[in-house]
Amino acid sequence: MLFSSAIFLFLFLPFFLIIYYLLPRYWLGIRWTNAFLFGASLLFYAWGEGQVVLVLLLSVCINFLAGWLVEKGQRRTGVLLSLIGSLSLLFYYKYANFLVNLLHGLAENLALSVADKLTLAPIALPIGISFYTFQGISYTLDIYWGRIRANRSFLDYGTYVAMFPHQIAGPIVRYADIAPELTDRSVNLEKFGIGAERFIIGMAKKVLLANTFASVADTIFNAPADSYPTETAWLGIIAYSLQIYFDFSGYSDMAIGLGKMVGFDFKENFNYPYIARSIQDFWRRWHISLSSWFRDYLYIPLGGNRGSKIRTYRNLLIVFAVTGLWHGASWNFIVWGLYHGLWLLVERAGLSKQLERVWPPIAHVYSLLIVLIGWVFFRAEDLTSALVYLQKMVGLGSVSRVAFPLNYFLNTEVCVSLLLGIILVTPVYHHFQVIWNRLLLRAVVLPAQITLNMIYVVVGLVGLFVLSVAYLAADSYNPFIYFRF
Amino acid sequence: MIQIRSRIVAVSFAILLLLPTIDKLVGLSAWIQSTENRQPAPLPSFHFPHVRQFVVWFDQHYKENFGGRNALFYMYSRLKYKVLGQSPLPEKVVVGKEGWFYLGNSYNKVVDQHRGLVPLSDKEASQIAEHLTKRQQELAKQGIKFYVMIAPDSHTIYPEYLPDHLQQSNESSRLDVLKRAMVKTTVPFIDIRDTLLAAKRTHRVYYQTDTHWNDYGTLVGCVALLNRIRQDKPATPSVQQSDYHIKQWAGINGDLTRMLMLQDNVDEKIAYEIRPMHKLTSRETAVVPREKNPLPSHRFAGSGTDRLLFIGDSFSISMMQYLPAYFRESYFVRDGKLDDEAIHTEHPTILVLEIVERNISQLATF
Repeated sequence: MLFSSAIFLFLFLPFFLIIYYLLPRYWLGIRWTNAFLFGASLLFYAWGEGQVVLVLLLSVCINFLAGWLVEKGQRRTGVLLSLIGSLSLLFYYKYANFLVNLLHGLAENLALSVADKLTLAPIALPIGISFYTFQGISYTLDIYWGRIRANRSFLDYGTYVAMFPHQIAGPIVRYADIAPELTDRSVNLEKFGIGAERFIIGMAKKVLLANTFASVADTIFNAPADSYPTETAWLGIIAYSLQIYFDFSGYSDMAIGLGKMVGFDFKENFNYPYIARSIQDFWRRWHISLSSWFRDYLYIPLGGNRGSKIRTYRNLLIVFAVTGLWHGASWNFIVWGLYHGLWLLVERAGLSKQLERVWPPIAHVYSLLIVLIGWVFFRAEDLTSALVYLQKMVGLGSVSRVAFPLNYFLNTEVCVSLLLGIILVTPVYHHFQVIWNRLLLRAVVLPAQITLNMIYVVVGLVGLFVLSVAYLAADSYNPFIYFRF
Repeated sequence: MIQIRSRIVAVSFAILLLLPTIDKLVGLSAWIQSTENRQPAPLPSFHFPHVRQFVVWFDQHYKENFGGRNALFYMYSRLKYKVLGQSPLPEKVVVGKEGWFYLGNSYNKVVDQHRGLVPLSDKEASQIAEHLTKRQQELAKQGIKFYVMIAPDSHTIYPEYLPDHLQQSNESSRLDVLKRAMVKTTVPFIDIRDTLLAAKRTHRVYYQTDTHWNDYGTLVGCVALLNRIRQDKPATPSVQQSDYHIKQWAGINGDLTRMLMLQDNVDEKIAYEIRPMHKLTSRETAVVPREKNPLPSHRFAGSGTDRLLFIGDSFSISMMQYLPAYFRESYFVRDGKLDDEAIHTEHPTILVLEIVERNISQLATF
C-alpha cells in the first residue's frame, strides 16, 4: 500500500486515525495504542506484501531477542545474533540472486562445469527490508555501546520497527530518537494539523512533481541511445535528478507528517541537497538518516578518520561501496557509491579547501555536476547503458532517427514542473513560511489572521491535496473508444 | 497564529479524507458519469484461503470506484486541457492544433507509426501480401471476389493539425511499404489516401473530435470502393458524389473528446448530413447477434445484383449508410478475421475486407 494511493488515503488512513484517536488512552494506557498501531502496521504491510510480513516479524524477533541478550550480559552473542540474523535475511532477499549470477558468469568465463548448477530462481524483495534491517541493527548496537536500554516490551519494540509511517521507504528511525514517545506521547489537533500539512506537501511533491519528472526520465532512459540527441540526454538526467529528490523527500515528508499525526517526531531526512557546495556537503543533506547511520555504525567502528590518511580513505571507500550496495544489488549502485566515495577522497585531499575559497556558484555547479553524473549510474539499466548515456551527454554517439527531440517533452506542464522543481530544491519554501508568518503577526485583527490562514489552507494545502488526488484518479482512468466487454 | 492554522489544516484534512466515503454514501458527485466505456472492477467476494487474490482485486476495485473519482478526473481533464493545453491522457488521445484530436499511442502505437518509428519491413509486407493472395485464391474457388480496403488514420489525412513534435517522417510509411508489396499481387488493394486528400480541399473528410472519417469522408471512401468493384463487376450500379445531397451542420463531440470527458466543452465544428437523391435504396433486414462477439452483424437488402460480405472495423459503421444500396444483399460483420460461417450462410459474390491503417499488421492473420 502506497501513501499516494486512494485505498490508503480514503480507506486505511481515515479508519485507522478514527480508531487511533478514539482509543481511551487514559483507561487503557499507551500499550493498547501501541498494540493497535503495531497491528494496523502489520496489516498495512501484509496488504501489499502478503506472507512476506513474516520476514518483517522475524527481523523484529531477532533484534528484540538480540537486544535482550546484550542487556542480560551476553553481549557478543546478542550482537552476533543481530548482525548475522538481520544481515542474513537482507543478504538472502536482496543479494543472493546478484551473487549467484556473479558466480555463474565467473564460472562460465572460466569454462567450469559447475556453471550450469549455479542458478537461483528470482527471489522477491520484501519492501522496506533495507530500512527495517538497519533499524534493528542500530537498536542492538546502541544497547551494546550503552547508549540506550533494551525495551522489555516486544509490543513496543515491534511498534517502533513496524510502524507504517516509516515502514517501507524510511527514514531510518533510530530507537533512541523515539523511545520516549513509545511510552508517552501526546496527540492533539494542533500536532495532527502540523502532520497533515507536512503530509500534503510530501504528497504534492511525489504526485505532482516527481511523477511528472519520472515520465520524462523514464521515456528517455528507456529509449534506444540513437533515438535522441545530446540535449535530450541532459533533460533526461536533470528530470531524473529532480524525480529522485522529490520522490524520496516527498515520501519522507509524508512519513514525518504521518508520524506527527500519531504522536511521533521523526528527524528530518533531507536538507536541500541540491544547494550543496561540495560532495561532503551533499551527503550531509541527502538521505540524512542513511548517511548518519553509516557514519555511526560503519565508518566510526572502522576507525573513521582517526588513523592515517590511507586508512581514512580506505574507510570512506568501504562505506560508500556499501552505501551503493545498500541501494540495490547491481554493479551500477556499487559504482555509484564508489564514484561518490572517490570524490569525497578528492575533496579530503585538498579540493574542499579550494571549494571554500571559490565563488559559491562555482562550488554549487561543481557539486551539481558531480551528483548529476552520478545519477546516470544510479538510473541506467546497467553499466554499459550508463556509459553510453554519459557519451550522449558529451555529444558522442550517433543518432539514426530522432524520435525524441527536446521539444517532444517540453510541454507546458513539464516546463512549469521543471521551473517549480528548480525553485523548490532551494529553501524558497522555508523563506516563504518566514515571510508569511511575519504577515500573520502584522495582521493584528483576528478576522484578518483567520482570513490569511484560510487562504493558506484552502487555496494552498487543500488545493494541493485535491490536485494530487485528481492526478491519482486520472492514473486509474482507462477509457476505450468502444465498450470494452 | 500557527496554532490556528494547524487546527484549520487538521479539520480540513480530516474532511478531505472522509469526503470520498461520504460521496459514495450520499452520491454528491453522482451527476458526473464515467466515459470509460467499460465496467469498473466489481467488488470481489472473499474466499478463504485466496487472500492474496482478494487483496489484488479489492485494490483494483477501490481504485476504480472510490467516491468522487469521476469528479476528480473531470476536474483533472479540464485543468490539463484548458489550463495547460495538453491531453489529459496523452497515450489515449493526442491534442492537436485548432481543436483537432487524434488517437494516441495506446492504440497500436499509431502516433509512432505515423512518425515512422515503427517501420514495416519488406519481409513483413511480403508475408502479408502472400497471406492475402492465399485468401484470395481460397475465396475465388468459392466464386467470391476479394477486395482489401484500407481506411487511413486521421493522422495521415490531417497531419497539419498534429503537434509539431509529432510530424510524419519523410520515409515510406507502413502503408506505402505494404502497397508496394501488394502491387506485385493480383489482390485488389484499395488505398484511398490520395482520394481523401483531394476531397479535403472542398470538404472536411474526418471528424476533429473523433477517430473516424465523417459522413463525407465515408461517402468518398464508398465511391472509391464501388468504382473499383465496378471494374470487375460492371453490373454494379454506377455511383457519383453528385447523386447525394450534402448539407453541412455543426456536429456533436466524438469519441476522442468523450474519452477525455470533454464532451461538454468541445464540439465538432463541421459535420454533414448526406441523403441520396437517386432511387437506389436499401433497408436493414436483420441485426444478427454473434457468438463470442458482442457486436452484432447487420443484413441489408438493396438494388444491385451481387451479394456483399463486408468484414470491417469501426470505419465500416458509417459505410452501412451508402454501400447496401448497390448490392442485392449485404452482410456487415465487425471483425478482423475471415468469417467462414458468414460465407456459408450469406453466399457472397464479393467479400470486402476493410481495416484501418494503424492495424494493417493484422492482415497477416486475416
